[in-house]
Amino acid sequence: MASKENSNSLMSWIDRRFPVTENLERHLTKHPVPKKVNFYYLFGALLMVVFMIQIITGIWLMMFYTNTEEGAFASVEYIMRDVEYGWLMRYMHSTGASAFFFLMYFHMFRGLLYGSYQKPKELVWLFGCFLLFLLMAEGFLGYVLPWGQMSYWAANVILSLFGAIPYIGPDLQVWIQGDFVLSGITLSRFFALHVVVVPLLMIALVVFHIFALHEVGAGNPEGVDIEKHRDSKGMPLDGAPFHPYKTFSALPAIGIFFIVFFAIVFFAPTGGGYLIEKPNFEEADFLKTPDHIAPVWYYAPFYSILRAITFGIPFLGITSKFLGFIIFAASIAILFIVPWLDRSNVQSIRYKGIYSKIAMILFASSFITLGYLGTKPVNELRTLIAQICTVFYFAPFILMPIYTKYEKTLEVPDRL
Amino acid sequence: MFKMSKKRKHIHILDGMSLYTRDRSPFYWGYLNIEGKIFKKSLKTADKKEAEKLLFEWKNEIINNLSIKNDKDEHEDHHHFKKVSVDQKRRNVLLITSGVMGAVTVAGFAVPFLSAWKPSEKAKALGASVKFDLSKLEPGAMAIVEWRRTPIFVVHQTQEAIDNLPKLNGKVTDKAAESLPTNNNKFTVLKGVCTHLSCAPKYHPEIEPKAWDQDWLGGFFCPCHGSKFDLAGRVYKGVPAPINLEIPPHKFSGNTLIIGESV
Repeated sequence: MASKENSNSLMSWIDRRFPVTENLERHLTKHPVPKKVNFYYLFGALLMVVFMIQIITGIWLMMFYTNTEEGAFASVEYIMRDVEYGWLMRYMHSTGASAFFFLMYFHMFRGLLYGSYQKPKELVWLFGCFLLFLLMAEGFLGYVLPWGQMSYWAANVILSLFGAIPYIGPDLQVWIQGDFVLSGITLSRFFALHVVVVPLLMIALVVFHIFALHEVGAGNPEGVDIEKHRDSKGMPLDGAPFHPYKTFSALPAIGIFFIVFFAIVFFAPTGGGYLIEKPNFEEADFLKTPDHIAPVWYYAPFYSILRAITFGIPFLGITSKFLGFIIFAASIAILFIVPWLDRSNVQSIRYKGIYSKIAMILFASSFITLGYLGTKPVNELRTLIAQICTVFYFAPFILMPIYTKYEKTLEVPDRL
Repeated sequence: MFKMSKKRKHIHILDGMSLYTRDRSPFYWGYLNIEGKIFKKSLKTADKKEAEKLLFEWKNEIINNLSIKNDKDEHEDHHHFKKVSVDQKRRNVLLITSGVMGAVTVAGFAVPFLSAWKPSEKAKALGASVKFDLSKLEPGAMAIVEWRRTPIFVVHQTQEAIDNLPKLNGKVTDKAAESLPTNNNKFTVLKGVCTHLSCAPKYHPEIEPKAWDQDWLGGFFCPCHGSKFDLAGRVYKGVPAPINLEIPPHKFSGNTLIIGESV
């Protein structure tokens, strides 16, 4: 960089035409990140790793998969039995989906704990919420592709939600399906969406997410603003360059993640029916519903909310099914507005008051309970518990503007 | 990496700002690149710190002069050229028409792409009506007929079931469903799809206490989310399913049931 104008090196030739060095410095070697963070701050890097695994294994699966009603199930068996290492590709992809959600939930919970959505990080959070939504869509579309019993019937349940929308619902459902029932026509379009449309959108949003993050700077568990104190070169005193400090600290985390990930891939790829459900080893039969339709574990909390709504609003003409759909959608939509619900003067849960702490515990425990209930068949008691947990899921967000404003917070230190 | 003259020494300060030395000159020389314009001059000092300070001052001076000049230029423009009046109305007409044309174009292109998602002719043909022979269906038995890939339940009701159904009037939401069997027509035709979330309800015609209902008089039970329907497909109160089992379009022609065509 010493003399960009005069130097004749190859790098400076490129830099004058395409600013490689400038961007490497901006995003890696000179990008300051807080010195002290905890393990919660590793999930973002791990998510990138999983996204790469999904893209690469996905491309290889696509080389052998047949996207027709007649061929889909058989082609998955073909991948499993006849393609060399086909089983590895498929189990990495299916386990990768679970890992994606697992990491995503922790990554977002970190955000909720340490206020990673507060001004000026609103857009980082929003892009992230869109990514969660896209990931849920991607997971759903992908789950249909093996065309097993659970693929078929779970898709039926979700598509019938669109049918529950008043007036336009039934036609909308037929339009999405491309048939009067869920069929191979639906399968083909889900394939196109799963391998092209949603991944493209996700890549774009990951780029937006990171650009926005690098503009406003990463947070830390203390909620300290590291930009306040800088050394003579303009580097924050409590910061360190992303590369090599963070890249190398992420490596052991990636190593540990791979140990767990491949332990599952090699020894428990179906996760006892939680990662790949047993009925999905049977080809889709549209005349035979499995006795118990349960979503994969990562949708279970939201599914629980959906079926906890056993009542409608008759005088508004809203059926219980449609109300269930609304509340189900709201359980994800409410995450988008969190930056505007939190009115606290501190970022981190460490300095927030007792109500914020109770709210986080309530939210986390109801999310886990809902997840457990979502995988179990219904009965009256479970429905009641799910209804209570649904209230506890929403209450921390709905009441957030009140308790964050009035609760007593601790003073945030000046330095990290 | 960098080629350097043996005699010249280059000290980079910021982008477009550097100090250098020249042969036979004891002083530091300043180099500035401001908006593509190159400025060079001797700073008349041999002290590096002093030179750096002077370089910054010189840069500010140039920038200030430039901005004054720019302001002046703009000011003069007003004198030299007659102000061109913008006909805002005309401009709005252009904006609106081109906006509308653009929207129409986008909508026009959207039509084929969105329409391609509708059921194809083949899918429509496969959705045609089916026939079922009722003569072989015993009382109390249920046949599952496939129509549009949907299981259609055809129940031949027993006399006992027909007598029992009115007893459930208090437990169901809709007393007078059109699927209720009569002494003239003992067949009930229903879509075998739970109206809650599209599972297939199971046929349980037996009259005995069940785990889900102590006073079960026969009917359909959905194992997914516990919705209950009686033998005529009427939904019980307080279950997730909002409405009765749907009745597919159908008609009777002698002993033949035609599903997919209405009367």
